[in-house]
Amino acid sequence: MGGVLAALEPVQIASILVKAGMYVSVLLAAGSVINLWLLRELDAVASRRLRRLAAWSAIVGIVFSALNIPLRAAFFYGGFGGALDPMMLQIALFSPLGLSVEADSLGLLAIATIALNRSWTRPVAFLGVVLVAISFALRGHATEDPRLALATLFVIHILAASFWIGGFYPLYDMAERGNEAAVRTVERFGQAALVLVGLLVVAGVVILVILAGDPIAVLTQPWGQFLTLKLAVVALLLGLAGLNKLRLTPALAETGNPGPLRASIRWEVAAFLVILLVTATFTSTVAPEHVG
Amino acid sequence: MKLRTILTSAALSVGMALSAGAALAHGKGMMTMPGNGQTVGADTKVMHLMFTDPMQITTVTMAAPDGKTYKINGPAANQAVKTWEGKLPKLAPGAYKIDWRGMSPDGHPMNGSFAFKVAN
Repeated sequence: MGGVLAALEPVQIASILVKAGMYVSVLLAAGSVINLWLLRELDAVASRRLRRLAAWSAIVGIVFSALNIPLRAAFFYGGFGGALDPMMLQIALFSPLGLSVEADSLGLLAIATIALNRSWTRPVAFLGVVLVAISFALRGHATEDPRLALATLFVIHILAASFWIGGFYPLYDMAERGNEAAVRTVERFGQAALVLVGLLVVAGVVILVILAGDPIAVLTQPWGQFLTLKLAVVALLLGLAGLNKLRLTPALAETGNPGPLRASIRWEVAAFLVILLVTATFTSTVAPEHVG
Repeated sequence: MKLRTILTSAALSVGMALSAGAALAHGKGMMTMPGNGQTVGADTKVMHLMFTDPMQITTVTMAAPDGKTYKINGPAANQAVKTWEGKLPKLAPGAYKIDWRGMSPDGHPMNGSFAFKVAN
């Protein structure tokens, strides 16, 4: 794993950072829309803040997504000079990555309309969420056989991850009030999380088995080592989620003190950032060799 | 532990991993002519990259013993080929390294390298 990282070129490092930025902004944009629909107890202020977050994340997400194209062109060329090379740009744009970036950007534009808060913007933003999730199934290993199964699993994985990352801000925001609405919001998120986090993990495991064969055997490969690091942080994140649901949410209901829950959410955010950075790194550098 | 400490630790971990050794392995299942580590005559005029599926080869460069890096010309970058043939410049005795980049049929960016020697 260290060897893979040591061999990275400046263009690849830039690609990883842009990809990580794209993951954060795109998942946050999609997840904010999902949580606006799901968390019905959000008050007007929290709702407005979440809509703004969704719109700004969508705009930042479009920038990060678009940057993938010149960076891919630069990789093809062997240096940053390729970012402006017409032939390399054409190859990147007409590759599966290009199609994915186009779908992603269109979906994010639809999500950004939610800032307007009209009756038509919620369904449009929801279509945007679906388009964003589908965009992840148009690139990389999602396009391998069995394509339909992998594409479906990737869409589920992305939607569930979006839900989780998009829940941090409204929960953090609402928890501060320490009132009944805050408790109901956190409880509602916790109930949905039981299903969606389960789907996230199951979809991730099935993707791993399809792509790599024997999940234990891949641990000897750099890909498997990156994955182990990711899973270790995921385990930490699941532990924090369990702590929130079983201890900190009841404590908020009893005492009205949001401090411990908000601190836990900050830890969750940090863990999620590490997960997305690790994912951006290993999906940009090494491919799994199918074992078994 | 504060949030800032966690983020700093994560950044340091990535930084430490970046300082470790070894190289990327890509393009498995492919063959090259000359082969990796092969010694060839100075009259060698072409090189080949051979793949099991059609690949779009976007850039091929050769580091020569004179310290210069030469761009190797072959089929157009937007053309997918199973065998890519590039014209080599006049070779002098010494060690050469070829680096290539391209895109697989499913859109994955690929790169690889191999070395060969030219006999005296």
